[in-house]
Amino acid sequence: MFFSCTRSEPDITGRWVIDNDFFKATYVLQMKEGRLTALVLDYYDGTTRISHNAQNKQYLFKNLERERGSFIDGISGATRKGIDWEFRITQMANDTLLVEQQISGKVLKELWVRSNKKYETF
Amino acid sequence: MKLFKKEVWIIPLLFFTLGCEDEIRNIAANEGPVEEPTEFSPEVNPVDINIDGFDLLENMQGHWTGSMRIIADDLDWFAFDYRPVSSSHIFGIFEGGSAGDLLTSFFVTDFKDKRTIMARNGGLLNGLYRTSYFVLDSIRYDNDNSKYYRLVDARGGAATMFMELRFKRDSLYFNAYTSRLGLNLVPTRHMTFKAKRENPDLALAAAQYVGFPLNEPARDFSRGFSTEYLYVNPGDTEARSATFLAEQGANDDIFSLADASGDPFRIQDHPYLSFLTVNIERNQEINGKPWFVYLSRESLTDTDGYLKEASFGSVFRFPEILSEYDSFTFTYLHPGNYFVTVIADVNEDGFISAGDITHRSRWITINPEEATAITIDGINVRN
Repeated sequence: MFFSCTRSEPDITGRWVIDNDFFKATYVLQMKEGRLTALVLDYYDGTTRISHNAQNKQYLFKNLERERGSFIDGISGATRKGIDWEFRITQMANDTLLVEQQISGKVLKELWVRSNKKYETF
Repeated sequence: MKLFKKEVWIIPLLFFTLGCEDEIRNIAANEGPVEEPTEFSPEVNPVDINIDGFDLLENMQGHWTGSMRIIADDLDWFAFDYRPVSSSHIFGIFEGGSAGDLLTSFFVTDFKDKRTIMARNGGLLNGLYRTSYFVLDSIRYDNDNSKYYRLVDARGGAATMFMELRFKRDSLYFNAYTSRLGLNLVPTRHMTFKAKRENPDLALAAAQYVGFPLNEPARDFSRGFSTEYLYVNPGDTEARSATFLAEQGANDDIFSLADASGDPFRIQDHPYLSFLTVNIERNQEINGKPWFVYLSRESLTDTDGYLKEASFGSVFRFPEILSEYDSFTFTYLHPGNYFVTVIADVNEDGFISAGDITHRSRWITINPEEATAITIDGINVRN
């Protein structure tokens, strides 16, 4: 009997939702060539509505790489607060992601919850 | 005073923030070459309000209270007090206090051979005077009986920045999307304000006074904007935005800055609005402390000067003043009656909290186009 010494990385691909006081959205996290992307399935902030279809394929982010236990995308040069990423995704639990976005020197933190709904992308 | 014109350096420009150095990423970066513009290609097509859209002015009326997200900061309570200031112009402002202010007004104009509505957005924030002009370019009727309006940068169009408003009965959804004046390829959400209309009677009273609403220009932009003063991003040869900037020097006030920026619709040009200067008399307990000064519909304190939390929903303006100042002037103030309440932030936590010191709210009447002053003393009631 053999045991692998390699710990498998958690799989965060799939469908995730966020629904707060300011907007609601559903994203599909996908791995493409080793990089994490977030396809927008639907988004609504009270005025702008985005619905995924074959003609309208939009992403929240692309090109996030696994690093330091999270997925991050690099930005050129650290900010004055020393943050060298624009997006950082960290799995908090099987069904919860902490999604951090650096905006104007501040970090917006949001929790995404996994959705078990099936999804279809084009 | 430093004037921002064509050859100036990069300025972090804000639609609505308290000090930004970068811009929010788009909520959805489009895939493929079709969606993302690769060069500046302004397209601005005003809505003819002789056909539809004139009702935006009426829909804006009221004291809107709700929640606000400004980039990454969430505010559980926020308010804009929209009242007419002329027959075809409605005005609202956020007064931040020592940090500055931010206004958005909507008015009838002629632009690009159309009778349409423009928005004037800007203010004096962190020492930077900015005014940007937007034009109504689309209207939408949604299935839930709500109506949607979009106003885009009057020069750069939606590629530079835009604001969206949707009204559903007494609910307002107000979002703004910016691109650092065109430096980013795609505008991204910058502000989200969700609100309910409270007490429209003050707006309606102002409407009656000024004869609002009429479909007549409050300001004429039929010749467009003079390009002489439009802000041009470094490296660009032309402006991507209908934006006017000026940096505040030691001796500059909002009047001189308006002149210096080349703003075509200065504060001096606004009818009906007034000014109120609030002076405070400090005492030993509040010396060296920052303070809030609130204008509200209801008294924020009882007769002994203790704060009444239940009345805070009636607040119109809520600036915060740094400790080194003993005076603050409200600009662009709607005439009317107000309670004035000063709250010394004794523990300096930036919030109204236990231990802060106040006084019995004072009543004041503001007449149209007047500069009024009030001195608040007896700030000695510890809450």
